[in-house]
Amino acid sequence: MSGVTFEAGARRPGTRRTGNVLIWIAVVLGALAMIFPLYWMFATAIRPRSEVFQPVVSLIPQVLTLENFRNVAQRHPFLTWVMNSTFIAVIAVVITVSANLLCGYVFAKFRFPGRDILFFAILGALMIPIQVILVPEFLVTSWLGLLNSPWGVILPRAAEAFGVFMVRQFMVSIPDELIEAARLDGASEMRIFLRIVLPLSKPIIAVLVIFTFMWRWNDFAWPLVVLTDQELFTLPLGLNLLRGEANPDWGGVMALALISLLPMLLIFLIFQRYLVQGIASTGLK
Amino acid sequence: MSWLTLEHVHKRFGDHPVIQDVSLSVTNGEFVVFVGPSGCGKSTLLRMIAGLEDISDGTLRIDDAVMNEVPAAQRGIAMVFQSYALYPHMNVYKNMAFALETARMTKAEIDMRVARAAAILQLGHLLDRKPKELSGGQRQRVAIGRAIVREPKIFLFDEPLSNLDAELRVQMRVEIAKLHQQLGNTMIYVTHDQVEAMTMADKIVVLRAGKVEQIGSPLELYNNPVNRFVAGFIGSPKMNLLQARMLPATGGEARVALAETVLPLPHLPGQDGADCSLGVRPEHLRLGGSGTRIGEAQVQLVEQLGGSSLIYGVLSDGQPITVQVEGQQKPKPGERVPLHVDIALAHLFLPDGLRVNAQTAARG
Repeated sequence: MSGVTFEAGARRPGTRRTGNVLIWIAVVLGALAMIFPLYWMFATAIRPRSEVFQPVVSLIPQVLTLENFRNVAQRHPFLTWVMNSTFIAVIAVVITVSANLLCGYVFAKFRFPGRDILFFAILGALMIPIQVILVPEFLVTSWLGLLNSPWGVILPRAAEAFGVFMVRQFMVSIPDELIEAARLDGASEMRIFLRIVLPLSKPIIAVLVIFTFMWRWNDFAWPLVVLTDQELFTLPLGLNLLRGEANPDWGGVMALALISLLPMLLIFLIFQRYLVQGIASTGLK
Repeated sequence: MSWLTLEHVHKRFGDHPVIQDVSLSVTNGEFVVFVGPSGCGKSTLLRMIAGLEDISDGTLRIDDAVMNEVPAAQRGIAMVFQSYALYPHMNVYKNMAFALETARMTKAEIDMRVARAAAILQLGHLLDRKPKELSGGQRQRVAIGRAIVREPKIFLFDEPLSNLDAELRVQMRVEIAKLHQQLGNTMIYVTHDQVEAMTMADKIVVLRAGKVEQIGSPLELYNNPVNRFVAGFIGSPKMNLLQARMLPATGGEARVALAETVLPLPHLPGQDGADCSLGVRPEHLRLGGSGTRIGEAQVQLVEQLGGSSLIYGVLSDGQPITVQVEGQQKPKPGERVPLHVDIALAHLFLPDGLRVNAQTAARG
């Protein structure tokens, strides 16, 4: 591809191929930059502690071991953390996604006084960063007696303004006539929602599940405020605990981080099919 | 047996009136077509009957029961939407069975009804397909099938053919007309296409700007339009509406001046001196021969349709005029041709649009 100059005219096929190659190189470099930290986490997790602190660390682990996983599991209630995180994330997904879908549907398809004002209020809530409301939210949670309980992590975050917004935007595109046809077919509002609207909303449900799970799974600041018992910790809090030790066991930290990544990967693999499908088949007619 | 009446029905969106004082009665088994230009409120009126829009004022009765507050599903009505509104995630069978499942019918009953509808509409081999795997005409039939299975008292059609190509439209028009004969239900059909209205309807309701202009059988509307709007809307090609002036009546007969000619209108009572329009259908005009000569046209364009020819020309005062003649006549552009008409078929419209006939003249 050498010898091609920009003056040579953009229409020459060679120029186009060069452009493609350049884009490919950029994409590959970008991908490497994204993947490398993940790889490094993986590599550190499976190499022995002695290898981590060598002056010259090789890119590829010389010895493979599960010792780091074993150490973490022995020294910390790491399985409990996994269970805590899973419980919080799964329950939060169920509550948040259900609430978002119902709420977004109402905003998209029903006319009632004050609807737009309410919707903009919810949009407004989207703009407020969590740090701003951390203290009042803590006080309310404390008043409700939910401190140091997984419900204290789940409930205050259950209504997600972003999710309501996304669902509303998606459902606006479902034709009114479908809902009217179902109404003429004698379906109750709940049946219309369950049998017509939900099946057509699979793509947005997939997006919501992925995002909500990811947010709750990775959540750090709020669980840190609410949870004090190590027994109730979520994985990110556990990771933080490990990292904060006087002499951090980096192999262990990376092993734990790797494990905390797996459910995200799994969720994405399950739902990505719907994501793609949803994007590919939006046309009704 | 079901009867449907609208009594002084109004619809307002905020302060904006959409339907104004519509009164109408539909007898059982009748095929009624609402026709009018887009935005005339015909679809809104249909949706009010269906129960998808509230009625702001007035009464809707079906079978003598007031329906204003009855939910859509309980009105005994099925509707075919312009976009078909098939449930995209369900196959044809499920689409048709949905209403029946909702009504908690037994599986056997559902199977039987769906099979019957599928047989009527020749959908038997498509029951497993999803809507996106069907052609336009097939989707249309599924939409009708979904209405049929419920065995409603009244079918509503909202511009059901507007998404089909011309050939399929004619075919489906025939199929819907046949279906009406076969099922004998009351059908109300909305369209902006006056040809559909003329060919399918027992009764046509012409709407404009939310008001009823005229109600009548297709031929009543064609032969005796009550005003300029209906005259221009019904019939294809459109009626020629020619500017003319009424002259002082002689011996009780109306006379009008059209371009360079003075025409006696012996079938109409005389009226003094106003501007008016003379309505003459293109198919009633002849190039010469018998009848009253109404003037001479300069030919501009001729369209040969094979069985007939459309001649577009201008009168001596520059007014455009269309003539439809039988056969394959071909006057050359620029040629002057004499125009004759059986004057009894001509209509006269006053400046306010109303047609002059014996009654209006007697009142005036």
